[in-house]
Amino acid sequence: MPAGSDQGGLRNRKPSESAFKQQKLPAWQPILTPRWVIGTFIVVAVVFIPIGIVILDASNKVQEYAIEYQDKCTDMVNGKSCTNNVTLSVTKDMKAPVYVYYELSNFYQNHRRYVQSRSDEQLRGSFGGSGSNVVSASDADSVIKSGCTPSNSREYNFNDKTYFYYPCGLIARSTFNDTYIFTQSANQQSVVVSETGIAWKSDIDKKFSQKSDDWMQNNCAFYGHSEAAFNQAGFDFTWAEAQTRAAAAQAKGAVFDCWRNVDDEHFIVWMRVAGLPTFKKLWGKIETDVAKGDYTVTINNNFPVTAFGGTKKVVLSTTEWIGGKNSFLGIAYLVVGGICAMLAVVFLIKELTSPRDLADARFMEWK
Amino acid sequence: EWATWNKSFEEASTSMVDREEKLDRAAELIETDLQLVGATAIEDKLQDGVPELRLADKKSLATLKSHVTEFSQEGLRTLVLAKKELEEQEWATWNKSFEEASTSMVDREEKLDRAAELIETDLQLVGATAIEDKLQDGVPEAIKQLKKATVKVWMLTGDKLETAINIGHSCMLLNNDMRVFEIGEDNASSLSELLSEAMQVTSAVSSTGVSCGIVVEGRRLGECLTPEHRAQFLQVADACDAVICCRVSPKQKAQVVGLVKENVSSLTLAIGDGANDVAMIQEAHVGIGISGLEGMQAVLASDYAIAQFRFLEPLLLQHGRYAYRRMARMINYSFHKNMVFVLPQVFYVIVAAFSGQPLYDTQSGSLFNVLFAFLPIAILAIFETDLPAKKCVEEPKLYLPGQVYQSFNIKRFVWWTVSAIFQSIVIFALLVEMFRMPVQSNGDVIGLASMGVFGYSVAVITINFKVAIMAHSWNWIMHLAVWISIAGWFLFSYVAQSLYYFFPFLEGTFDIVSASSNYWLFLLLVPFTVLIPDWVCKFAKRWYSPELFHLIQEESKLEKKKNNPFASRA
Repeated sequence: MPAGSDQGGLRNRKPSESAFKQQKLPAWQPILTPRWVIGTFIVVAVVFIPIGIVILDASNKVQEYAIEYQDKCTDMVNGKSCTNNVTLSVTKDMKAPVYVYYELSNFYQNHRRYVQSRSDEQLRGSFGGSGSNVVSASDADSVIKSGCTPSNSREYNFNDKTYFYYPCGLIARSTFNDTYIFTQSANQQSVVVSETGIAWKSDIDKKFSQKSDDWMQNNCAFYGHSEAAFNQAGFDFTWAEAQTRAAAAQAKGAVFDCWRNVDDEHFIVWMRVAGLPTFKKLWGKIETDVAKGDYTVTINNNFPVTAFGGTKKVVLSTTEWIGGKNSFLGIAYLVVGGICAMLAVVFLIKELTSPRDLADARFMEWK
Repeated sequence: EWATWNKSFEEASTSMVDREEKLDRAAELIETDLQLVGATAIEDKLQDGVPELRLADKKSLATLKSHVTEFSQEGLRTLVLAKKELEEQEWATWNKSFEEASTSMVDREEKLDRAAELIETDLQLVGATAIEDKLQDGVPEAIKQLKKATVKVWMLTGDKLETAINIGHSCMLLNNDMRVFEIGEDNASSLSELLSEAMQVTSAVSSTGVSCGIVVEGRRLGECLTPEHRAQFLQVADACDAVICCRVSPKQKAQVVGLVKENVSSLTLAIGDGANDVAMIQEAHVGIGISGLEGMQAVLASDYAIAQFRFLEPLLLQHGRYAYRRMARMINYSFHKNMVFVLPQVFYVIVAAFSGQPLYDTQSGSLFNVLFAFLPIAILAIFETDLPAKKCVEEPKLYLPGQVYQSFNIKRFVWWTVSAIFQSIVIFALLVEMFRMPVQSNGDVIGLASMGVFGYSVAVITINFKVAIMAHSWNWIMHLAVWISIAGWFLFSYVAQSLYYFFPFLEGTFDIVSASSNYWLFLLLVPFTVLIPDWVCKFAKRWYSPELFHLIQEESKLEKKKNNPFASRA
């Protein structure tokens, strides 16, 4: 008698017959036939090739003009600041909005130690307590120590006292600080470039938040050490005012050097590290049409690149729905679509010339 | 008395009607007024030759022998019973020495033997019994199918030579067309002579399609296992279609299995149902116990327990085959998916100053195997049935690929690795080219974090589509697994971008990235591009150089269409 049969009260040990437990679930069991392969390749080709054409078309519509300028000023070549002019020739009218970018090369924002060298807490403003709190040196140290290495991007000694950078870290301390002024060469009319609305909205809203005015008055012992740099730091008071505030804060024992306004959008844009060593970052927006013609760009050359063999470019660009000028995506779609079309044809020819049926008898020799 | 009874017993055993009842009644008749003979320890019920030395009355010996041989030729298990009447005093003395022997620490076996010898003299023959140990249902069919599946079947039994041969015939291990060599205990020739003779014959008849079988009896088997004869024995055994070892002790069963295990590069499976099979079950690579009337020792010692011998057939041909394929593919795929995920990150160092900067956010990277790459392959490894169960069992040749390591070997693994390297190179190259232009339609620029999201997304989709390409049976669970894994990634990204405490690197990325047309175009382009070779290879293998299981899949498809002409799908 088979084990487990139901014999008057004995426990039935036969496993359940459910489709799930017996692995008899209804299933679609596709067989990869030529019809499938040719069909899928044709579908992919038919979808990809038009997409590629559309993308290429859009990319070709993008207008981009760039000038490399790090070698245009001898002082800059030697690592010192200078101001110079370059001429940008726009060959076709550009429709608003027109974007101004700076492009750096050979700058590894994606170096591991560089990427780590920041303090998100500090940038969020969620450190150091509220307004009237004066942060002690040890507290300041503990907050930012883990993020901002090496130490010279975090603190420095001045008059036998340690002061902490706010914001700290290599990324912050290497912020790009060239500025551009655009004028039409012909009639010296200036082009209005808006320097707000250039950073990610989520960054502006959440990730970066300068401490309150009250707090700064109690804790900012310095606002940097140079007027020129302060003027670019994004604060809405003057250098003279800054000195008064700083002196008051120093009297209270402040330990921070508030050398940069964390809410400044140029700073926020820089802090979003780039993925490749050659990268563009948004510097400004021109909300009017840019007519054909020559433009003089007055560049405040502060950012040194010759030391690491990098280049600087200023770029004027429109965008399309696919973004800036990049023929890569369009070409990639065309190439892949073309390969699929070719494969479809190859398999079609093979099937027409030497077809085989399902379970073709020729292969069934094992029978 | 005995003659009368025996006559009615013989009548009962040969009757056509109500045989069982008549036998029972006959047994009842004689089982009255039994005198206690004493306790006997029948250690070797096999050695029914021993008492012949101890019988008081040697005349009935010849009749006994002929009867017993007759029984065993009918495939019955024989037992000879003899008795001896003892005085109380005699028995007490002997019992004392017997108990001493059984509890002694030193030379227990020898002492027990000597004690037994003391009492086993001048025995009076009572008679001989023959028990039919019925073959279970379906045993011959199961053995036939296993042999078709190129599994070598050996029978190791404790029965006599004639019984073993008889059973061999009834379970179709031997058939009348086979040349069977018998190496019995009463065969005086030297083992090497016998074996070389067998070897000559097997090679001579192999070309004519005649198969051979060899039967070796207990003591001679012991000789075969010695180092001098071992190789020769294995050679002959290998050339034979069927090998039967009879009068085998439990220890010898294990030794035979061990011999094969160590000298032949095959897997061994031992199946048995009694306590005397435990040693062999434990020795073999796979031990199977049959649960049933002989108790649970075999089951407790086994790797797998089944209820009937015939279940061995689906266990191997269906479940074994499925398990092998599923496991092999799962292992290969697991390495592959991790390589496709990790290698772009390895290549990334080339453009990140070799500083070791990860491409993906590290916190979400550790969730890859847990959340996004786990379900589909797990479902495939559990549910994938590339052929209906019926077909696996009907066509034992399907079992062959597993025996030659076809689904998982070095070549296969290298192929999967090369494929993974190719896929990750393509993914990386496309990613880098894409990010040479990080400008979005609203002028925003995306950076490292977004690049990581692009790469991660593409990896998740690609490896899930790879499982989709691998899978043959798409039940609702598989659908769920694949689509959930992919959708889960998007859901996760959407949520994680706000959980800045856990994923500071990802903050705000998904909103920006998902609003970028480049992102979706990239996601459409890359998985298809990367998987084109896989698609082509899968098709080309099936269509231009199909495996047996491919053809049987197609056959099943045709059958289904015939039965249901309105079903769609080519």
